[in-house]
Amino acid sequence: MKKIFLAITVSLLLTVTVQAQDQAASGYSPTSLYTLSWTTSIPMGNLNKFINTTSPAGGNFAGRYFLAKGLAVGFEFGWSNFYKKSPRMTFYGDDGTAITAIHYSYVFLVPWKVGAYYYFLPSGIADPYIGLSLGGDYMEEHILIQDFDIYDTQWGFTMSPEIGVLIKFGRYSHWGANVSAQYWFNTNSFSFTDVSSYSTMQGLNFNLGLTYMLR
Amino acid sequence: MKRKIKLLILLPALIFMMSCATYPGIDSRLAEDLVDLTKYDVNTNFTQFKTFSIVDSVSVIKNSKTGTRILTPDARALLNQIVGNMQVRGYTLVNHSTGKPDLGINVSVVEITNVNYYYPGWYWDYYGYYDPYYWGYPGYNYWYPYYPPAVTVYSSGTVIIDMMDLKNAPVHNNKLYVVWVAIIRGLLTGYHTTQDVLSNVDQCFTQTPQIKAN
Repeated sequence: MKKIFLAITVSLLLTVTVQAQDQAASGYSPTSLYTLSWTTSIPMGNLNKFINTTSPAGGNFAGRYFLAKGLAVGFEFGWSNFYKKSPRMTFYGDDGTAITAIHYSYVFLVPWKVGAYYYFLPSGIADPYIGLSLGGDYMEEHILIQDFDIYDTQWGFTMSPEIGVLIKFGRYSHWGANVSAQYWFNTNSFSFTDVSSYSTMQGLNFNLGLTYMLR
Repeated sequence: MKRKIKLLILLPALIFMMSCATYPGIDSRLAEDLVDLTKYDVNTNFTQFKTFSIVDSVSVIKNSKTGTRILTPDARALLNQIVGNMQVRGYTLVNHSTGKPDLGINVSVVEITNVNYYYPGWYWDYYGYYDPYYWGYPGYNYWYPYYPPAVTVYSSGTVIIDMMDLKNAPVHNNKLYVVWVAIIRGLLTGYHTTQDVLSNVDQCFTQTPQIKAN
């Protein structure tokens, strides 16, 4: 996991260097773009209390449309799977129930968002951007014990600021790579009887994606 | 160009596969663990009981009405383990008919596969299960004085231990209250030894410290 984290950090640093070198080498400014990303997500806050393991099992699809030079609006939906295996332990209920088992905690998140973004160098080879997106978050929380599945699902509000960089594969290429980091929080809350309750989740997503740009 | 196109197809496919990796499936979860689920009646004071008796063989609950009773070395070991735990808690083993036990214990192994049950005590009238007649209450019923544990799928092989309050049956209109039920799940996966099952019997008692004669 640390390796993935390191790789993403190094990619981000490298792209900043590339951007500094390539400012003069301008290409075209895209009118719209679509990105499919692989998402690694670090649970924070209350989500971290439920599952404290980083998830490499996530993805994201985003579309962005440029309104004016550098300013874009867009949509995105993503998904993340968090899970953690917990050692054999005993849970006690206040109704006389006790259960001893290995269990898995699992969270499945699907954010649907719209956002606004500002690209600093739209015609550059490397184009850093910032953005803010908001929308709804579908969330499932499961505790899995053998073939038992105790779960809850709900929707909440979600918001996430984002920084990233878009790197064109060539000055006139339609294709590029997109590297970004998103902090997110949502208003989802859930509770499992006799275990704990959790409200408002936070996390940090790192996206590594392939982008197709239209002129 | 061809290589580029292949890469462009391969990359999203790889991203998709990486992003869908998730927790292990039911089969491997069943194989790695026996689950011990117990529930006792919170309104019962177990120190009022001093003696107990246990069935003399293990009921085997099967698909259809072809259940039976067994006293194989494994079944005997299972019964002995329960007796040992009860004695450690201060209860005295007595004969089920002549000793007037305060508590009766039924032991069953469910070998039904892929069948869901949504009502409590569904196995009580299956072939092989001991009738209340065995405990001196012909024509009467077993009864949960609480909502029983919500075990709905018995696809993996299960030991069920029912502990009945015989002492207060006349007060309960001759219903035999099941004051404790212990369920050990995951036997039929083929990964668990008799010793595993016996240590899980111990765990069922460990997680119910309320069962004690003094």
